[in-house]
Amino acid sequence: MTLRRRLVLTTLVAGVPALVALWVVGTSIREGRDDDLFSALVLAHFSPAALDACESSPPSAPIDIPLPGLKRGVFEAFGDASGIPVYTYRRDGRSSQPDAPALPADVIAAVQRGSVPAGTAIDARIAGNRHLVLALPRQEGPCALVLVATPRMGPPGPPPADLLLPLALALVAGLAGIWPVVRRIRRMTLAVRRWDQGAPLDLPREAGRDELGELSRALADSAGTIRRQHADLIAREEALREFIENTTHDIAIPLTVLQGNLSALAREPGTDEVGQAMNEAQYIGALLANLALSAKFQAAAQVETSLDLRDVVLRVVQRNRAMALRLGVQIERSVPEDRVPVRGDPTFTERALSNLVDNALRHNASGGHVAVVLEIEDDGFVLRVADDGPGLTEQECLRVLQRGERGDAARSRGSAGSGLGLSIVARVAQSQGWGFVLKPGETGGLVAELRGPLEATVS
Amino acid sequence: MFVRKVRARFECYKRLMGVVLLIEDDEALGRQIVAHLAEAGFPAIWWRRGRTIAASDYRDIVLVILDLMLPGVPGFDILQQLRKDSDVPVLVLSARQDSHDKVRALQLGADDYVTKPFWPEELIERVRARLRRFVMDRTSQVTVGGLVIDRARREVTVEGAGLDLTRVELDLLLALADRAGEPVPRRWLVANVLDPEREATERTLDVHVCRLRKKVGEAARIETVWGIGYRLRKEAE
Repeated sequence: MTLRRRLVLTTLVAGVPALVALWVVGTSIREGRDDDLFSALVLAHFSPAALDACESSPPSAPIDIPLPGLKRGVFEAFGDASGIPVYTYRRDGRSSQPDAPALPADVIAAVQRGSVPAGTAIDARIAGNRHLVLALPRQEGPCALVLVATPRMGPPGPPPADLLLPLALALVAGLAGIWPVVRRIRRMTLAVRRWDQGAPLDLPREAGRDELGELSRALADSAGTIRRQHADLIAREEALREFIENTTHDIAIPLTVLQGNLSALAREPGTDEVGQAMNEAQYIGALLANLALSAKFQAAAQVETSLDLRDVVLRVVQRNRAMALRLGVQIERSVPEDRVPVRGDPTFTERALSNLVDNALRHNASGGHVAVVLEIEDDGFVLRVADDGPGLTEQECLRVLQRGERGDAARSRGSAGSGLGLSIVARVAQSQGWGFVLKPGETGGLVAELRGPLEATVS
Repeated sequence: MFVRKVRARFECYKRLMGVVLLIEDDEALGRQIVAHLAEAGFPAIWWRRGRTIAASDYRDIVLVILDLMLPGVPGFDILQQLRKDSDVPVLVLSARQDSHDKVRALQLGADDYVTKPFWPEELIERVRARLRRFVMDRTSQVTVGGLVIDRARREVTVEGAGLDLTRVELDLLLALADRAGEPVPRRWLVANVLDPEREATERTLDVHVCRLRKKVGEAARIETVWGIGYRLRKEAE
């Protein structure tokens, strides 16, 4: 509920009962005042001489008490009438006037109880109209009580319409007062929303001395702190990325030279150690690439572009062919004749596939085979890396993937391809909306499978 | 002696087939790449700094291997200038694991990229791939090994003598010949060559391949490629 609506509702909920209560109280006071006026008028008419005359000759018709010449207040209701007709009664309620209305039993009982002292009045409802029964000073005789018909006929009417005026004024005043407050709050809200959508955080700094002004200044100060912290974070991230890039670059070149030298040495006979050194160099290169990619994941530095998966397969197999030769493992690949266009990051995709091929080669024996097969199926692609190495059971496959997805800190080169390499594959697959499974091969070994949509079918 | 041999070979190749231009600032790496290229039969010129390539240079250059991070003119600028004046293949070397660089390089016209560290064999393979002008021969007649396959007439001959092949065997041979040297998946062969109404299974495929091998004999070699399918060897391999 908005502030304005709340204000209107509160004003109505509090104001209406208050106005009604005021009206009721006012009406009661007015009635009391009017009763006093009637009482005074009647008492003034029934002087001791008039009471004597009434007792000696009880009236047989209503007595007409003259009204004031200038009719004001309650007397206005009598219009042009010159007097008020009244009836007299004994204390027991009997009247010498045949037309006198019967007094209510509760009134008679109250009078006889002594609850209506001389000179006071009591309300009486007769035929739905409000009357006054006044106790005269002579408590005995035919003029002990006087019945006066008041102008208030019927039940009290509804409150007058002009009572709504203060209510309306209160509403208007409240809305006028709250409008500037609401506007300032909206300004602050818009500034925060714009920031959320990427605009710089720039909260208005209110000059007002009220609580809202204090709030806005506090928020503006916080925004400044957030901006500085955000800038710090970005700077640190940039510095880290630069460090990783520079380090990767600085290590990559000497590692390439090392690999080149090892490759030349490997051609000499009796160079088992050189072969091992080449494997280690390959591992270092892969680890370097995986670590760099891991850092890029943290920085959400993936690029989405169109790439032909065939090129990725050809490149990765080419890269690993030398190692396959050294290990005595035959590596083959098959790609469709047509393009296999997908959306993804070329570096991440190539690294993911390279990790799978690297695992397949390392966990195989001399004489073994690795096949990398890319196929189009329905509206998507399937990329399989199969080997005929020792393989894994279904439970081991699940465990390995779980460890890999948790980013297991052990960058183990040990069994079953656990560690950083597989975690990279799982993260790349997840970030690019691809499926990734490991499963035992139909005839043994292990099959790693990536599945995803072709670019034309991605919405 | 070795240096004289290399120089002589270089001059010979340069006259015959042009040179590879290597632009790489690292001394050790540059020297190594030049040696590997020479060994693989690709004479190379080596620039240690980035500079613009003059129009007169293009005459002999058949491939450019370009490092991106260079002193002097940066690699991307050289690439941009190259593409304005020439369509010589460009293979980019980069030590940065950054897709932005790769995407930008390809957008500027690079044909391929190699990320450091790399093995020399990988680089040579890429160079060969760029320099090789492999054209899928889709003409009516195809020669693979000792086989001459006439697609239009659906005939296969070995040294002039016709081979008696069934329809399926001929279709199988044509499918393998179309991608000679490349492994063709079994699933693809089952789906695209065998008759689906006649129990097209991998087992049936194996039987057909077995019969085809017997008929082809020594004229050509149909290899089984583990995990994939079959490959018809090209003559040169």
